[in-house]
Amino acid sequence: MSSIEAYLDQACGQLYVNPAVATDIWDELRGHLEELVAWHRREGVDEEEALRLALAGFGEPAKLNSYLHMVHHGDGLWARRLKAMALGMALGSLISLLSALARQMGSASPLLLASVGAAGSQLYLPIGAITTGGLIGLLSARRGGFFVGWTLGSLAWLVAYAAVWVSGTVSGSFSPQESLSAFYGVLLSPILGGLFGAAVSLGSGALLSAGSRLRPTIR
Amino acid sequence: MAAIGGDILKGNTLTLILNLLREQPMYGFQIAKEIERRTDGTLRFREGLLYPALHQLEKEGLVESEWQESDRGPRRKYYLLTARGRREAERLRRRWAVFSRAVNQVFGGRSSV
Repeated sequence: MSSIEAYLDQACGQLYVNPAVATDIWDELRGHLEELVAWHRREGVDEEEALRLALAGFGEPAKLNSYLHMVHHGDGLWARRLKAMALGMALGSLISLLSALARQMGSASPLLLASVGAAGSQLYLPIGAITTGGLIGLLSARRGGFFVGWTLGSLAWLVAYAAVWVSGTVSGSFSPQESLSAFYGVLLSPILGGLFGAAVSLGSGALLSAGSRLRPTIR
Repeated sequence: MAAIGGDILKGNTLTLILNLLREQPMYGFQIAKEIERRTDGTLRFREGLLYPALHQLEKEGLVESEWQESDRGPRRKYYLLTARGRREAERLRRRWAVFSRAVNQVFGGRSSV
């Protein structure tokens, strides 16, 4: 990779714009840098020095990236939100599947049941996990990151398990094992829900940046 | 004369860009070099930082852009003023005239206190 492309990778990275706009920005900046190198060459400096002067004169890539991010922030936000929501729902479905498998194992421990979300009604759990995953994806799509996902996931998990535990215990419909696994679910929500939320948030961030990363045009 | 950049220039970047574009459509490199040339290198800034400003102006509908092939290198993206951009350029130009006259009055005036 040339030093111009390495610079552009840094200056244009993580911009959530559609690929056509991304290519435009990349091409525009690259064209300017190439002209700047040629301009310095005409001033009489060698290629290496011309490149160094051009990159130095163009500004800090991190600063340029933050300014471009400010201007283009929100351009592809809804597409990003929808993708993040889909990823969250997919992870929620995975949890539901693991939960159903755990239930098939009659001798599973309450801790295992809690760790895969297998407490409470069989019907509500998949709906809850899928909806929660989707909501976390939607809410964390704008800011993303570990802490946003972890906080949202922990809260969602805590509220869901607390509701399941209270309703099941008060109504007396839970077996002792179910009641215990729901109680474990409440206690473990910062870990289990947090990990779930963080996985949705970080996963969607990685997925989206890979999908909309600026691509150079090969000429 | 030492080059002026940083915050002094940053606050007036849009005024400079819009008023240069009143004359003719230009592309980024051309804008940067034209500002530098007309001021004998006094106004000089990190050229990459021109692009967020141009993109912002485009988003606000003050300029439009179009790609043009160049026989001297890579294709170039030219920016041209919209009607709204032309009015804004004029407004900023008038504001600058008032401001610079006021500053000059402060520098040239004598205290009557």
